[in-house]
Amino acid sequence: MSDYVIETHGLTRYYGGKCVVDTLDLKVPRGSIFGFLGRNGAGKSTTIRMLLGLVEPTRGSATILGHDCQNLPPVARERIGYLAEGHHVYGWMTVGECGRFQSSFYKHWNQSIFDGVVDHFNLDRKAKAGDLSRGQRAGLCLAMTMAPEPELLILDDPALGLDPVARRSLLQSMIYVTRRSDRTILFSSHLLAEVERVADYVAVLDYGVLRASCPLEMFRERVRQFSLRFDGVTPQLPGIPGLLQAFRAAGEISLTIANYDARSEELLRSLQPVAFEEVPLSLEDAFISYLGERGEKSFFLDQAPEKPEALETVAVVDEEKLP
Amino acid sequence: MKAMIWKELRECGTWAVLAGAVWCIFNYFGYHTMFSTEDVIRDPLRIWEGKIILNVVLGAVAGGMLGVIQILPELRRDQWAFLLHRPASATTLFAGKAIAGILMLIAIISISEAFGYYLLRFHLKLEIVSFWYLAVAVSIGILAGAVFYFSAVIAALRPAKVFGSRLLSLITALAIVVVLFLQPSFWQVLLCTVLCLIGLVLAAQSCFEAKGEYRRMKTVGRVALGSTLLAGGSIFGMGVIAFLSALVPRGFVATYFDSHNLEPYSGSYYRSDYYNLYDQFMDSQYYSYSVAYDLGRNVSMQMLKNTREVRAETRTAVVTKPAYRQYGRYIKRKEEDDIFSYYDTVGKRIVFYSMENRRIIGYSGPNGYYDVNHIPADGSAQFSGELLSDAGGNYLCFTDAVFQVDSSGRQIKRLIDGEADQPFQNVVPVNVGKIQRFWVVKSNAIEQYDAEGKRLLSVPLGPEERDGQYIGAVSVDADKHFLWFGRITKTWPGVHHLDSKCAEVTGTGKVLSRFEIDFGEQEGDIVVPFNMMFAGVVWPMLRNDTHLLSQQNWVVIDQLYGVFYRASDIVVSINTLIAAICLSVMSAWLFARRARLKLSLCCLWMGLTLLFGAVALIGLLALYPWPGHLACGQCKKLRDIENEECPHCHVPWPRPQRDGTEIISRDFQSHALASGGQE
Repeated sequence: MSDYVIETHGLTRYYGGKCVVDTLDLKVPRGSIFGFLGRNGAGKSTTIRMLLGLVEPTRGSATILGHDCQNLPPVARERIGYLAEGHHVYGWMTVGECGRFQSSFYKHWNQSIFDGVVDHFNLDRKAKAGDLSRGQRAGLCLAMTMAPEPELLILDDPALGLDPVARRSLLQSMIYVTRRSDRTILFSSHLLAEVERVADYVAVLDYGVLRASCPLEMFRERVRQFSLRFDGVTPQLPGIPGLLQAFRAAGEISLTIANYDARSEELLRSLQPVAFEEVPLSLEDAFISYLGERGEKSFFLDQAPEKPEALETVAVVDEEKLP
Repeated sequence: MKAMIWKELRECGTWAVLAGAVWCIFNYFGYHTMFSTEDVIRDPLRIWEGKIILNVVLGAVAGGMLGVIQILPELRRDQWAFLLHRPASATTLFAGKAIAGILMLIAIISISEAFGYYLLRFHLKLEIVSFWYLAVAVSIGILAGAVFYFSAVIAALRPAKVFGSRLLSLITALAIVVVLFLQPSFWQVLLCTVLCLIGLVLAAQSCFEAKGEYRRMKTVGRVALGSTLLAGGSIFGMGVIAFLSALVPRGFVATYFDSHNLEPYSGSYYRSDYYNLYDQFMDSQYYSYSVAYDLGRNVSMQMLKNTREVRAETRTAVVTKPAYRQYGRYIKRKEEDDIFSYYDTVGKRIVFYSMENRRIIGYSGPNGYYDVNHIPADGSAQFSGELLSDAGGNYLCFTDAVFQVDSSGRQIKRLIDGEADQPFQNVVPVNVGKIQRFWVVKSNAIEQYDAEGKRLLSVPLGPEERDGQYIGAVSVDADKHFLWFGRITKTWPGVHHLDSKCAEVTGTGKVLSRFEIDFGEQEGDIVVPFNMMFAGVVWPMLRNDTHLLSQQNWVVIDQLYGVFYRASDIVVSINTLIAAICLSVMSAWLFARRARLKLSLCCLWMGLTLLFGAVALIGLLALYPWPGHLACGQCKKLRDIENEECPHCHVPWPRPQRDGTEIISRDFQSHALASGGQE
């Protein structure tokens, strides 16, 4: 048995002439909770749909639970739970009917899990699915997805549009299903606090290109921010490998760097700052820095470095001129 | 699958019930306005044809509606994923949907038909209602509905880019239903529908599996969908050309051999075939041209205008059974009489029906008339053979016997008895100098009988003559007859030849001579390649060589074909021919280049397209994928986005550029990444 439940090899997808997923090589370890991150339109949902055989890749291949994703047999689908981002249910069915309808397709259907999640979300079994709130509908979908006890749970932005309480309920339910050690969860999300709370691994997709795929801790370690203070004018920055962002303020440069190492530190110290300190980053900060605009930014127009293509003026605030 | 059927029935059942209810209301008003008064009194049997037309329309509308409402709401991205991602194959899910759709269709038509039956039988008090015809009406509606259902599924699933091209499958369905309706026999309708449905179901199922994406389909599905759409496109094109042709001040020739519709005539020995020429700029009238042949001298006489006056023909011995949509062929009624009689093809007896109280009052069988309350239970009141002809109501010619019927229809006299092993293929009453004769066609002989049932002559048929589709007999006088055997043979695809043989026989049946009449080819040389190109385009059901399924629909089809290849204006034909050749060959070239085929393969497909027309184009599209193309970063030439390697410079696609910010754990690195990624 492979250590990975999902493996993609050069997975590529074009829509017309636009490449939305570019040569994706992704591995999802068995038994992990894998956060799949990226901005809107990064290609996360397309990747998930390709993994489930709902969209055909233009190039490359992928296996999921050892099966070619384009020819997933029903037995493989039974082992994969999928919660689409729209939390779709048939609105005319009652909650109970949704469960019965879904259960009729599965050989292994754990009614107690379905009941447990439905109760967790306080759903009335006679209520029409179309009358449920968005959070309740998400709960119903999760119940239907989890009740077959899938080996692999793929959740496409499951918390989208949910209020914090519903999000927390969803998270708790997800944690509930991971009690089985061999169960894997791949979920895409924008809510980084939730990702930080549960994920073991993260992968970051940016404009269809895989930028990061590693354990969560590693991602945190590799994306670091430093604050460099200078007397007088801030110097021009040398070419720093892995530089994500540089904010230039009066006598200070804030740098966010990926893959920070000894050489990076040497380059920074060569600028001879009067103060050199690391700023702790949350996952959200690290993620935003990682996927945000690259290059230097300045808070002062008059001290803007001569790099127009990398320069972005964010605000015109001169602290020294403030009363 | 059960759950899927249940879900579909629950989801769309309301629409089905609503459609059934609407149709019941339509039935109610329809029967009252169309059938309840004068029409019924004038010809109550016509109600069946009307009912079948209504059911075909209902079935088409209901089937199309169900196909669309079962598919369109599911097409939202998430909903489609929710539908498909479950432990069941796409085929199973499609089958569940389709079975539910057909069940609902049956329910809609059955509900409305049951209501219609109630209206006719108990409200309008028409005892003429027969369960067999009710079943036929329901069945024909369901068949038409099924054709439209799967076509609508295709239309709903297919992501058509060209405006209106979604409707192509529905145009195909419309054509199929029209052609099916024109079939003379219900079993032919059933067979043709099943054949058409196989293609439509395959196309719909492939569309469902691939969500309408042609390139994701299997080859069988591509061929089925391609054929369906091409048929729709061809029929649409035919319609456009027919419309444009009607605007051009020239006639088109609709050729048919209509001689069996002429009144029996004898006394001359000409054979004529009729060509109707329509020219709307000439008094908006139909003109008939004819080639007449002097059978005795075996030469073509002349081209005669309006030769219907000549009447130089006996009836040909084509069996013309009543179509399935006709209740019966033998109808006898005097205007002042309130009782009319008709032959019931199911009950195999003459039915006497009182218009006054709208009840059946009696039956006539081979042994005479029976009151409705005194019908023998042993079946002796029924005719045993199939009715072949009725000779204006005076004779009933069956496959096993010929009966004479009196003016009231109640006195039946057996005239000619057949043999059990030699059933009559046709019986044609003719007048020889006011004296009634019967030409009886058997599988091995043609015989003539007089009005008393006495056999006058018998001419054995040779092997080739037995295969004749059309057999004519011309009686010059009592001692001289000409027998004509016609058979349409195919010399080229779409080009037909009338193989025509004659025999001159004496009054005792002795064959004096045998000779052939050359009627020539049906088409001129100039249109042969043009015809070949379109031979593959036309849906098989529209081909006039489908007479194996239906021996009589070719007349209709020839008129359609005539639009294309019988244009009298040669210039138009040549222009169209050149344009069509160029279009086909250019399409093949473009398709083949688009599929990145080698030059030799491109040329091969162009040649195949030249020879086989659109069939070759379908094959090309079905066999090769239709990928997108982008300029190669290395050689700047277009390359297929699906292939890893550029066909020109053999360079693989560049991997995404790396800027040192990538964080890829060593465990997750592929070989390609390992060299350039960070760890």
